[in-house]
Amino acid sequence: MMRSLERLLKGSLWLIDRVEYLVLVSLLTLMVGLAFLQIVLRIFFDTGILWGDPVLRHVLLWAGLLGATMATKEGKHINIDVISRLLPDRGKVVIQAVTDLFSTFICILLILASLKFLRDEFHVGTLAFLKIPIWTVGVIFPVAFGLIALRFATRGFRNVAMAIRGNAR
Amino acid sequence: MIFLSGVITVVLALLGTPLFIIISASALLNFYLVGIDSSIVPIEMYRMANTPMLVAIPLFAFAGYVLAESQAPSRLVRVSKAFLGWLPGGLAVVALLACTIFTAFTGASGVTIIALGGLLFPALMSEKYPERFSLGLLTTSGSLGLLLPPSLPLILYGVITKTSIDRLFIAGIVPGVLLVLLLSLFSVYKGLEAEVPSSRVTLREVGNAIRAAKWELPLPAVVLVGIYSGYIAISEAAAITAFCVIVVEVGLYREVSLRDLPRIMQKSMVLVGGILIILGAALALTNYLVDAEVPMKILHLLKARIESKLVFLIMLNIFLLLVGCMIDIFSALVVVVPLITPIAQAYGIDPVHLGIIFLVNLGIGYSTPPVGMNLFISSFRFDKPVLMLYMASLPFLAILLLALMIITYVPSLSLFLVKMVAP
Repeated sequence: MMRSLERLLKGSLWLIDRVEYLVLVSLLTLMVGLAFLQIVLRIFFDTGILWGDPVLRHVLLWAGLLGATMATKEGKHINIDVISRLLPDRGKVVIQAVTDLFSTFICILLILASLKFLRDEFHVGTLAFLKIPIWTVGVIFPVAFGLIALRFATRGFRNVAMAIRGNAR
Repeated sequence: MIFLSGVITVVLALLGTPLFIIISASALLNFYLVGIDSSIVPIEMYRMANTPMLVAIPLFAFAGYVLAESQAPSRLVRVSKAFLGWLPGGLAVVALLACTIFTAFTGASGVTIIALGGLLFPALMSEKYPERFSLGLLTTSGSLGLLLPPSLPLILYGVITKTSIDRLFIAGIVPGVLLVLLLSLFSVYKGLEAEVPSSRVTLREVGNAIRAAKWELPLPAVVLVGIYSGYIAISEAAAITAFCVIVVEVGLYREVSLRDLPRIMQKSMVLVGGILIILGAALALTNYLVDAEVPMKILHLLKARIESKLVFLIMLNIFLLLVGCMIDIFSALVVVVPLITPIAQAYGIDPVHLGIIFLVNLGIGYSTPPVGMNLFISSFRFDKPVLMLYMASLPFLAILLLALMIITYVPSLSLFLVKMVAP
């Protein structure tokens, strides 16, 4: 029972990673293609797709936030890495556990804030571009913060467990 | 209570909590304290989707990563060597130039050390350059290209301060060339001292080197002419660069396979995502700080103590050196620039000049002991103890600091071209 639950959990984490990767790569491909198409249209045909630029900027927002979730997964967020260099392994694990759990907490606050933002936008119904309201493109905020929180939480708990067991591998 | 949470935040930042978490936490806390709903944070982050220039950042970063995986670095070195190999210390000058161009096009100087260091370090060693000199050279020259177009940090500064990026690109030319020139002179001197061999320029090698790089050489020319003539916008230049780099490296040279592209895309987006999420969080925090008139309060404090522009600039230099060695250049820009810009303007400093000061300063901070990031990247890349790199980078830092002082205290160095071209 425990084992199949664990397998299910691992499987779903793997699936999330995979979907995230595919979406991110598609977004950047779209960005390169659309941005290049726009300039070809402008220079050679003196025209352009009217919704091209706002779409590009929103693709950037999505890709940027998904890139940030990837950075969380790979532990590559920009930080001040001054003190932990000087510590022994055990201390590093303890500090990592603390910072991971704090980060999880802040991300949960950010998820709540984003949900409020979406709710307000849903009522106001401002349009981002074409007929697409802001609250639909804004869905990326709670999703991205959710994914970031998930990564911080799983790593945080692993570090807590390691700190308690006392073997920092 | 406020004081306590402030201290906790600083401690958590020093312990290595990601900066976007620290900045978001400060924004959330401060908005909570003044009774503004937390949804202001995502509202501010959403402003990223209304900043056209930002599209340039992932496109340039991606192009840079593709170039780094191809043989472009070695072709770049070959072309520079064909032209400049005759100088005493020629290879060192070649290394400087290649690093400068590569950083200008990829923006993140750590990438330069990784991509070019592995190629240049053995070459320098085989021509009998002193090891310490070679290490210092490669460590510090990673941040030389930051002033030259289409450098990402310069674009980011323009986005944050709403300064014309075209003007910044013009302003960066002379200071950027000055940095390269001073370090080149030092390299020539060192080359003479170490009696390194210099190669002769032969028309045949010049021709061969150019022919080998014939698909890549037009790209910088197109981008630079396009940007400086005002015919294409920065984001368009980025789109052209990304597209052409794919066509050239994947289609013509076939050094990067199509199947590698998704992985490279992911790698570049990890870097870009890390920058953009900090930018988003900083937009929210800046909104609070400006509303609470924090820059004005700092200004009042300063004005009471610091009268002259010169003393202010000296203080600014020291402050930015400290920031530059602690924090990565992108996060330093998004966090510090909104705070400093209004203050510097009150002291009568031109925002374009200020941008150049910021980048030179933060770039030097990258290689400043004890915690400058380039030192650790080099230590990792060349497998040398960090202490050795501290010693190796010292003479270069002395020269760079001299250049920093000239650039900071002689504003016309940055501004005269701007005034000539676009009064």
